[in-house]
Amino acid sequence: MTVAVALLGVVVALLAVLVVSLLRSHAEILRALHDLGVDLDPSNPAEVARATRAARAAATDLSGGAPAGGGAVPAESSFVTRDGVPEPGDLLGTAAFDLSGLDPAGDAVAVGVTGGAHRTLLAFLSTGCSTCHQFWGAFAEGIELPAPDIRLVVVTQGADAETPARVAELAPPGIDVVMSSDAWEDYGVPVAPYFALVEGGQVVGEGAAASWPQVVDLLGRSLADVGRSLSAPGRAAPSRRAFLTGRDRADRVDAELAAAGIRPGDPRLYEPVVDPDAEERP
Amino acid sequence: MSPVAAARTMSAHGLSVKVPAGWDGSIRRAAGDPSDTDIDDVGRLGTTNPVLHVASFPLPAVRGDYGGGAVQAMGPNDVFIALVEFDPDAGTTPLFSAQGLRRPLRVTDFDRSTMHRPLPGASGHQQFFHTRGRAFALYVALGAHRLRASSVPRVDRVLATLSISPR
Repeated sequence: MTVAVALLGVVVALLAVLVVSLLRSHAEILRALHDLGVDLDPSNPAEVARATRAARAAATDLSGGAPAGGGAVPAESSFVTRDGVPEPGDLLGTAAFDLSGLDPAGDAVAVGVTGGAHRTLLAFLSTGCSTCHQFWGAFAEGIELPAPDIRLVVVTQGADAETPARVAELAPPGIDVVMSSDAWEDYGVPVAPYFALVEGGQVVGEGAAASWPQVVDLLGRSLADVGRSLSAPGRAAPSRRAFLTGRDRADRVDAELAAAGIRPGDPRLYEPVVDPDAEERP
Repeated sequence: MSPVAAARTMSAHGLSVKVPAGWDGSIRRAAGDPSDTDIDDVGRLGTTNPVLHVASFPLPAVRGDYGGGAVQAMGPNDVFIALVEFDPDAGTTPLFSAQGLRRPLRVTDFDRSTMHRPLPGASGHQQFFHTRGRAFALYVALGAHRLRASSVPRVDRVLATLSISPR
């Protein structure tokens, strides 16, 4: 009996040592992940978002964009798209973050992105990349936003990576400019220039582009993929199936004709079709 | 479903305030070259004085100290807070004789006629005070006077986080 109790005690002791070892190993793994920037705490949305983006390779912009870190463009990237083709939307559907930082004059500024009925287009620009200068210039000259409810906010990295005087020099009048490296980290900006459209506290469109028309096109297609419209908040665009199968085509044609002042029964609808090529042929 | 966003603390020029999630804010000095500005406008410190703005709606990049160009965009539930600093010498004048910010604000503090720029349905509140050797004017605008019972506590919660340090 005594021997059995002693053996049982030894087994319990060994199991206790094993459990402690496993817990210690688990703690070491968590600590290592934390040091690598991965936080598995689901209650921390910022860390979750960062962890989600941790797998994103340092994509490069073939059209002249600069890596977010400000260094040279790598010779090879793990993932690239052709010029003009948007990159996959890793941010889509993820939570947005309010901005907080400094303006180019060094004053404190906070921009609410997660509240209100408006949409916010975040333009992540740097002062160093050549493609960004096209946007700095275009914003200074004045661009037409796709919808009146969209607010454009330029976000540069903070004073640790940018020169405030240079940002102030390029800052377009009348447009909010926020210097915040935290914002770049929160949104996982992979490359500059980079754009993210926020609606209802979520990123609903994102991508890199080389010109303003490309940005509008990119965001429009990105929203269409999730059944939304760039022209109005929350307005559902025709589904891809409906658009491709032409189910809504009759309605769209009627609407476009009505906009042109052509109503049902209009004689212009029944005019014979003239083939100009046929007239030119002998 | 998006997670609950956190308030952000905004600090500059000896002023600090917590900006609620989704709100806009700034603490900045009015633009201008001190060397070209009258001493009467900038005070003996030789520069323009800080202006703090907090608003529940998007603030335009260009706006007046008291919300000119901004409050016109307020919706019924929106609020606008402006804390405008004056020259420290103003603290000795009767207008700024009140010691410290008087709060909590009450719904009876708001009046349609207090709006710097008359807006249909809106109302405002203004008070002048001095603290820590600095003189301030607090101006608050509500998008809808009839909703003041719900708007004023939101304003007061922001003002409760306001901190003013000596300059």
